Amino acid sequence: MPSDTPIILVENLTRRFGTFTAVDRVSFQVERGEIFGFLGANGSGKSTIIRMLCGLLAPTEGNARVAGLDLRTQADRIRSHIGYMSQKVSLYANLTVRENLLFFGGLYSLQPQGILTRQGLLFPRLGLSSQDRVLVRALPIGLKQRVALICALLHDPEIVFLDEPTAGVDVINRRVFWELIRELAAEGKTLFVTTHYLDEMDYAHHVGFIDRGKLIGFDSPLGLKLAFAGGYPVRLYHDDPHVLAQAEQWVRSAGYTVVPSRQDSGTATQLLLADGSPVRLDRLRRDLHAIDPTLDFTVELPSMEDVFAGMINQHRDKSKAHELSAE
Amino acid sequence: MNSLQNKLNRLRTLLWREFVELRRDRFTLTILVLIPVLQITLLAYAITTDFDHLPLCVLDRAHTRESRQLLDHIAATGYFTVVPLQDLSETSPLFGREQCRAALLIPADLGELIANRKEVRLGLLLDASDTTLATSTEGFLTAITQAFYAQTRLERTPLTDRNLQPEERGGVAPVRRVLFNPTLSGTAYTLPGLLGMICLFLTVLITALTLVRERDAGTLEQLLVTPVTSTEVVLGKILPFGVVAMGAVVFCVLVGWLIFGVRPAGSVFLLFAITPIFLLIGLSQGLLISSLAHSAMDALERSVLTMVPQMMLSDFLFPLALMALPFRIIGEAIPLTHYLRITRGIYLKGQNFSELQSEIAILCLFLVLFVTGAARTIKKQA
Repeated sequence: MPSDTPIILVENLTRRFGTFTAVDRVSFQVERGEIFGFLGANGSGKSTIIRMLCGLLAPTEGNARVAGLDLRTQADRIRSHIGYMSQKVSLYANLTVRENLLFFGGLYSLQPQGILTRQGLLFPRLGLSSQDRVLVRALPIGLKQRVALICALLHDPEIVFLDEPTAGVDVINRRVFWELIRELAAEGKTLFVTTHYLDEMDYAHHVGFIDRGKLIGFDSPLGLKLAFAGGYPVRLYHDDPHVLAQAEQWVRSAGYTVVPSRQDSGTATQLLLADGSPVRLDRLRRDLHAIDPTLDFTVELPSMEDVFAGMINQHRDKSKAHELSAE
Repeated sequence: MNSLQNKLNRLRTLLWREFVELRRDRFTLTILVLIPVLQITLLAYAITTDFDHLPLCVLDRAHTRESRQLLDHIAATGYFTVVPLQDLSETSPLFGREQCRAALLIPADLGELIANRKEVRLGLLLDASDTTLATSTEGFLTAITQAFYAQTRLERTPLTDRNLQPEERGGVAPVRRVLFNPTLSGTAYTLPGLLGMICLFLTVLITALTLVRERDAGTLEQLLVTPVTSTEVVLGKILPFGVVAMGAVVFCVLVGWLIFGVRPAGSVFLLFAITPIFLLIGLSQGLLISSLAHSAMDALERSVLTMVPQMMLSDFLFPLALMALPFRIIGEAIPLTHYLRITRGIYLKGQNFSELQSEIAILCLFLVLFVTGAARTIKKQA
């Protein structure tokens, strides 16, 4: 498979349960070596999409290609290319850590020696060492979740689906976990991650928002934030209102499209730069610094949480208006 | 990708895990083997239709040597325990409290009647609320008294007359020839049936609960994203528990043999060779229930709901031959019906492989049906 084709290509994927449409004509693609963040409220359809892509559930309509294989006709072959870990941390509680590894590895027809080599490689990276003979039942949730991730990685899959892998895990454990996720992506693996912790989405290369079965946003985290804010919200602060007015004038004259924003007080002003890029903003910062070194210049992008909540509201208002006009 | 070697590897891995868990969970293992043995012991005692020291009220109006001999005779059989009465009115409260279900009245002129070769009329009061018991009591008492009559007459006949025909000597006990169950032992008949029912209960319940547990834990879903096929999941479940259930069956057969003295008239090895087919059917049935159930409680209810009609229509409780045609057809569609024909055939009639081969073939067909059915539902319900 040529490496420039997307590793996951979803086209009009639809799943209905009776009369309820859980997933409604969703299309997107994920590139190789990416961390793809998938966001949605409970019951929004994101787990249904993951389950379809893993071959656990058949699509009602539409199709997808996973690792270059057709979801409808080659689901059996897809399984050896993917790893899957769900929020349930599905390990056998009455088996030891090593027995779980040998079991899941065995299902991929890996030799015990190979499994143990792989374990030796992955364990230190997740800060696991001597828990081999401990029953999984006795492990704290943070460690269970790391073991489950290793179980999903034993067969060296190209794509790893992580369905809310950090649910109920503390901050320290989440950080360790995400470090490994980023390392895996750097090695060329594709990671498809859903989460409830929106701050984790800043690690993702691309983010998809799903609401009521529909994909309502798909972009890089920065792209989503800019699109939502309508540009770069910039905040200028200085004790002297004259300097502030001068700076604002300069920004306008530098060729930026400035959308009027609210005037906080005499000492601070907010501007929205509709066109910009990180590089241009950096230059602007230096130029303004030249006017007055004490001028405070900050870019205040909305948080993922603001974007997500805002987009859902917009989407729902729009679909409500649509429904009303249809009536 | 799905070469036979890989299939076997995966199946071996699935079996290995199930045994590791079973070994670690000694309690469950013990329960699985002990419960059937306990069941067969209790039920064989309880369901048996054998007479054993049934209380028999006796109002002896004769009080002669003959009447005492008759009572000794009755007591000596071991079927009855004689409860002497002073007056007939005492029977009513005893019957009411079911402390006694039969009363015998011996006429005052018993001695004379025997001496004069007259017909002896014994009074018999029976509580017919249990018709089976009443009929058997009557039968046993008639047989015992007739034998007594004949013996007493014979003893009093001069030696020279002893070559007379039995008819001329007085009462004749009816001679019955009993097929298949010569000792008329109730246990001998119930045991093979019980064995089938216990196999069904044990296997359905084991797997009905185990798969629900795996689904709740999320491990079933985890299994299904690996290259494992749903048929392999089914086999990985039913084979290990099949071994455990087979152990329980061997125990049950031994208990029947050593404690109740009921041994198969036919080959016990044939029985052991066919039983695994039925066990695997039951285990697949449990998986089928399990993959349709929403919770462990639901699985339990569904198991009971499916097992009761199977008991009713499989010849276990009621004779299938006496039922209306639609029920007989349903009965034929129940695997237990065929397995009971096999156990009873081997235990009571001493049937061999060639006599049972059509029943065995039907069981094999059921097995294929249930395994594929379970595999399909698991895939859908994951």
